[in-house]
Amino acid sequence: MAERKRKLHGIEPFDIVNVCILTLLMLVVLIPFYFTVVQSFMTQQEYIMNSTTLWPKDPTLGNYRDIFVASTMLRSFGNSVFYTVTGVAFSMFLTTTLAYGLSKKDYPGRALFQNMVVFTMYFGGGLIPFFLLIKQLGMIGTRWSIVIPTALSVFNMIILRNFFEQLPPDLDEAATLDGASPLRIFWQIDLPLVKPAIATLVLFYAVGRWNEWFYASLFLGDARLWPVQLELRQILWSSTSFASEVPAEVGRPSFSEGIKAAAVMVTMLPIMMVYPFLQKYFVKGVMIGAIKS
Amino acid sequence: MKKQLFSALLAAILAASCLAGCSGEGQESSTASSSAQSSGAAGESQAAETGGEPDYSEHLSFEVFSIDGSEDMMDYPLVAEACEKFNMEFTIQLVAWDNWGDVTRTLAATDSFPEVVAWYDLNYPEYVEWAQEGVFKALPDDLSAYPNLQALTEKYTIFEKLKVDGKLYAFPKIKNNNPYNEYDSYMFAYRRDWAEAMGLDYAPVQDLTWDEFREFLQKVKDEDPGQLGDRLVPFDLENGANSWCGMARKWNPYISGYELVDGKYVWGAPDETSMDAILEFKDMYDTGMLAADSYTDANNAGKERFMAGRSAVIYSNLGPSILLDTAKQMQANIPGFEEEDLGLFTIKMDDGKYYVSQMDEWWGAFAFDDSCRDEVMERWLAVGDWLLEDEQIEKYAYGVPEQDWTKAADGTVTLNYTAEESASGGEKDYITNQRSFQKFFILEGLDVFLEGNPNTSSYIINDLFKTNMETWATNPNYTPSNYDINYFSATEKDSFASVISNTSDNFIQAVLSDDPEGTWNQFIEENIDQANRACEEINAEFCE
Repeated sequence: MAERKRKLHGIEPFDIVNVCILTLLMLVVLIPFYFTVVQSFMTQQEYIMNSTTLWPKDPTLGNYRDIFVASTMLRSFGNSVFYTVTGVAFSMFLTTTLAYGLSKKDYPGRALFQNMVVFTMYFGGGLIPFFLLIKQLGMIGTRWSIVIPTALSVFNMIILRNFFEQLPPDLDEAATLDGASPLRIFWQIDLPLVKPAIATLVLFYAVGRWNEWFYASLFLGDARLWPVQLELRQILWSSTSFASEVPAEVGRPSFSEGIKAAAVMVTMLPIMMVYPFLQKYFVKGVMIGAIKS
Repeated sequence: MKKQLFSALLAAILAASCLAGCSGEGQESSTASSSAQSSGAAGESQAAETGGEPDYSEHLSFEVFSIDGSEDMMDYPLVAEACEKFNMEFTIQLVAWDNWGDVTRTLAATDSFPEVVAWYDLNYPEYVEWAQEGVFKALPDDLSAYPNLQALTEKYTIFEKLKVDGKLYAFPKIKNNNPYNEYDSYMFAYRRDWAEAMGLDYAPVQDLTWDEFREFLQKVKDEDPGQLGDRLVPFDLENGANSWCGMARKWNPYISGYELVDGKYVWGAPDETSMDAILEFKDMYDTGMLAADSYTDANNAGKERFMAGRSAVIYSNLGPSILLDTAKQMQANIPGFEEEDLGLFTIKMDDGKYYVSQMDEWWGAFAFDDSCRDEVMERWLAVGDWLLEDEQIEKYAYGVPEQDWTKAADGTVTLNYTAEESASGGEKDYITNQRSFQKFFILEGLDVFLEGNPNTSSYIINDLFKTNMETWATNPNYTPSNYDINYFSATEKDSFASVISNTSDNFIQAVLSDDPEGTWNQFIEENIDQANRACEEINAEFCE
């Protein structure tokens, strides 16, 4: 009876509170995002006169034009696509093969390899030794300095290893009895079964690769190789030349707030477009990989 | 047990790698140091041997580390001409501005700089440390082979200050090399059209006392000549409240530094004139003369409000090219706004003087890696010297002679392009873009004062900027830059730097507080002991 009283047409009070809180959180995210969209279409004059408005009186594409007027933008987009596609493919190759190997209990030296890999999660050499290593490998100034050195994420590998470990060993045994080689078992039987995890890791890696700018700024002195994030940072800097550290004589200002907003939109859109296609795998993948049965 | 062993092994590996890293670095530094000293000497002797015409027969290729430049830079006519004349080619190793510090430090620590370094955001203690460690190669003592560069070294005091053990390891870039560059160009710009609308017949450069200035602001607020209502800001500053403390130097020039009193340096902030400034700003804030909530302003938000037509007066850096740009932007933003609608106020303080500071002479530098070849250094210095010649100044001001512009016998310059064509993205945007080449060597000021430059405005340059500077010169209260104190490093003084840099925040808090004196005095009392310790170090170095 008491249970029924708490329910109102099948809706529990907890649900109402939950929806209210989640709606509030959604608004906290959506409102600034919406105003960023609006700001990206505003002129400097209108922004300064009335920075908060539901829609600009005279919408302009000028801020987007300021970003794309540089012939380098399309090229840097191409570079980012290259780093993302190549980087994700290479990362996934390393992650899946290593995770698969380490998931096998009878793999010789498994504990040693696992400890070696996990060690790098806790101890890093620091920036200078890392730079020296890349320099000695002859990768400075090449595209591979962005793709290879940071290809393997140990965290992602552990997620995938847990996934592989949950697969019943009987599957492998049955396939072996049927004459399948280890490579074939990996490729045709086990890998398709961890698709949710693969999709999740692809998204993790893709977002990371797409947003990459720090190592690019460190390793790539040739601007023709720069990814879009680094190019945009440079455009943003040149539009805020009156920033406190930089004397105004260095350059001339544009409408920096508008360009910033347009830059946010330009960099977010590609990943936002990919997200819906992978979302169903994404949640499932993280949950399953995190719980080891 | 197994886990404990593993932990011990990890700890041992970590300690060993740290030790290995430290010892390696030390060896590299000392090697680099000796290498730098020897190559500096080699550079000198080679320069001394050069007698007549310089020999550019050897083609040189090298890299330049910079935040400016693009791959099509070599196509800019001025750059192409320099490369041909000096038989060289260079590529830019580009670094993003906001990661400049990390990248520069990493390259310095790993001895990975290219031969030429266009060094932005030069940090003095770091510069000295790296010069002493041999990261950079010393410039020749004798720069007579480069007369234009040498002239700069003789004109500006910063060159002497940047010497480490008697050698110059970086060539600082002069910010405003113009005939009126003695004073810092923070000025008061005002809307002449609004003054006229209120019945005030003000000159382009109008001389006012501080009280008259306050009356003007009150009149603007009362009459609202722009019909802006709540959006009107009678008086704005470059970064809103974050610029208040900078302007407070008109009351206390040493509010953010050290003042010499009776032969000893003392902390400047406790001087009673600081409170005069605080109370004046509080009164302006409370009476609605200043932008509300502007303590969150950054990136010239206050200046942007003025340029968008919300403010009657702006206090901002208004050097010649910035003033030109401000007028252009206001013409674009505000319907019917003409160049002559912009004016300047020269404001006398209570003692009848104009409170002015010495302009910071420089920003950034160019330097040479310790591995830089002597001939590359000499070639780069020669390019810098060549760029400072009048003929080249005209080229980067107007473009290619005869093609982009012509000069009549009477000196009149006619441009063969429109402003749109020379702007970024236009057909002749190299005219704008090739300025970054000049900025490897000097920041600004060479072309703005060219006689009859059609790209500038006589009203802005002569009637405003020049007149303002000349008015200040009639009765200045002048505060020179004190490079000795600024660049002096000692334990307590370095530690106190954070307090000095927090002066602005405490100034804002005092202005906004109901008890400005109490708030400011608390700031002083909390830090006076540390200030005294810092001053003891300074006085021991400079006053005893």
